[in-house]
Amino acid sequence: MNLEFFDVNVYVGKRIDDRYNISTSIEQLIQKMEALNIKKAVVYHILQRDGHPEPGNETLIKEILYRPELYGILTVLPFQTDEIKKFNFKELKDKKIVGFNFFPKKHNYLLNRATLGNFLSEIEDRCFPVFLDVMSGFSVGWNETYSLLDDFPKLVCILCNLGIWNTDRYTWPLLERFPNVYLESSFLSLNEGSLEETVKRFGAERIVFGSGYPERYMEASILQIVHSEIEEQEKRNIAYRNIERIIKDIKYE
Amino acid sequence: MNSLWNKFLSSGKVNDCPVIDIHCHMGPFYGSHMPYSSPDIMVKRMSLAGVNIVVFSHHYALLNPEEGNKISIEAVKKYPDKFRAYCAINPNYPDAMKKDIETFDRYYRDVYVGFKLLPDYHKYPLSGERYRGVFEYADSNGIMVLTHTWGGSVYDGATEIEKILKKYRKIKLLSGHSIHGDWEKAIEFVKRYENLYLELCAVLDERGILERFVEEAGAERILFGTDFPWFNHHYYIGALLGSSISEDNCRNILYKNSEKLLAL
Repeated sequence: MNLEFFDVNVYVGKRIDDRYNISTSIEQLIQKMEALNIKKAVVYHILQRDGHPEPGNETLIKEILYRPELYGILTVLPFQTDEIKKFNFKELKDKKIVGFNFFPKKHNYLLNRATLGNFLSEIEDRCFPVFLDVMSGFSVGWNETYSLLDDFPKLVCILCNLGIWNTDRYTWPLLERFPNVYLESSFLSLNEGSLEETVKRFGAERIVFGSGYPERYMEASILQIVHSEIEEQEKRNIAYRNIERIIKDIKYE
Repeated sequence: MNSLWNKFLSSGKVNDCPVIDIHCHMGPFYGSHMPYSSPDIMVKRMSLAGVNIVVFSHHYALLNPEEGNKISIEAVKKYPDKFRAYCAINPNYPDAMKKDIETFDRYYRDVYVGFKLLPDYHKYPLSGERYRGVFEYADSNGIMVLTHTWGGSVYDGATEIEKILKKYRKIKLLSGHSIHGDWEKAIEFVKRYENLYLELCAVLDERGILERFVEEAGAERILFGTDFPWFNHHYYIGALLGSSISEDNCRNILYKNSEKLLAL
């Protein structure tokens, strides 16, 4: 089976603490993608998280602009402090921006209605996906994720980096209740049986392929999905089609 | 990328590259949904990735060895070609522990291939007096001991491990998770102590560590382990093959080193 992939969980740029030489440039990323049949990827720049979102977002936009295989996600801060400009959604299409991420623990704020209510309502209406990192300690935990979705139940929310230990007990109630919640696949692939059982209960439409590169090996997630005990059509949906559909549904205008 | 990658990618398993998983479990566990943890399902799943043998300790045995080790023995008897077990030790129950050591020999090789220790969970240090019986028995018989090891732990971190390595030179000490996070100590110890083996469960979750292990210490005492049925074999095999180490070293890690240890 020749599966093509669309990776939603990748970052580029030099890490501040690169003890094991894993930092990846755009050129290195594209070379890696070509070797593994990853046709497209949604990326962010590490500067968005570990530096500051404003220069980070700008750097990302410049770096992906002439790379047709790459799409970007911008990092949001509370607008009250005027550190980042308000987004012009119409322009984001030309810049190939397909979503937003948040690192409230790293950037010291609360991701909730009080802080970002208007913005979250707008992207909920526009079907802009948010990429929420629930494990790294930089973004949100499960309590915040549950509260956020209670407040914005139609938010298109892709839960990334789910956690080393199986997270079915956290994710399945969300999949059951919120129709626009999706799971990024890398840790589902790590946890024995989690991908197959999630597909069995909620359908393959709720999972999108991600690798966690450069922190984790792309080959790990790929090999698991290729040989998972699900239908070929389901593999294709997870590997590529689901995220393609989510991006297509974004309302830029 | 080495040629094993293409073979595993196209077929899921490779006949001339069997896999031995030296660090496994069985049965449900409190902190994690494990849908494929029964012996029957485990055997079926192992076949997908060409995993010939897994060496496990049943989760119940880690809690209550007196009862749980019996379940491990039954599982090995049911699938003698697929399973070998560790005799689980809980130092909080010294009487049961003594009995387990006394009866170990009865099951050695056909069922048990070593002991499994879990100091962090049992809240008892590796060098503690209550473990002495296990280490002395294992040392005098050259038996494997797989112990959970975690960087910074007062129970099974680097300081505790070195105390054991200094004292018992014939034991085959398998460092489960390779003193996770304290990678420099893992490298230092495996270079210094010939009876130490580094096991890869939770190591392959991060890029770059394995490459460093192999570069610094070679691949002859690195063992493939996954905590299966916690974690998925294809995921870990993919991670191993995605690293920059050679095909020969992948083969050493996937099966050759463990074959020697298990005398297969």
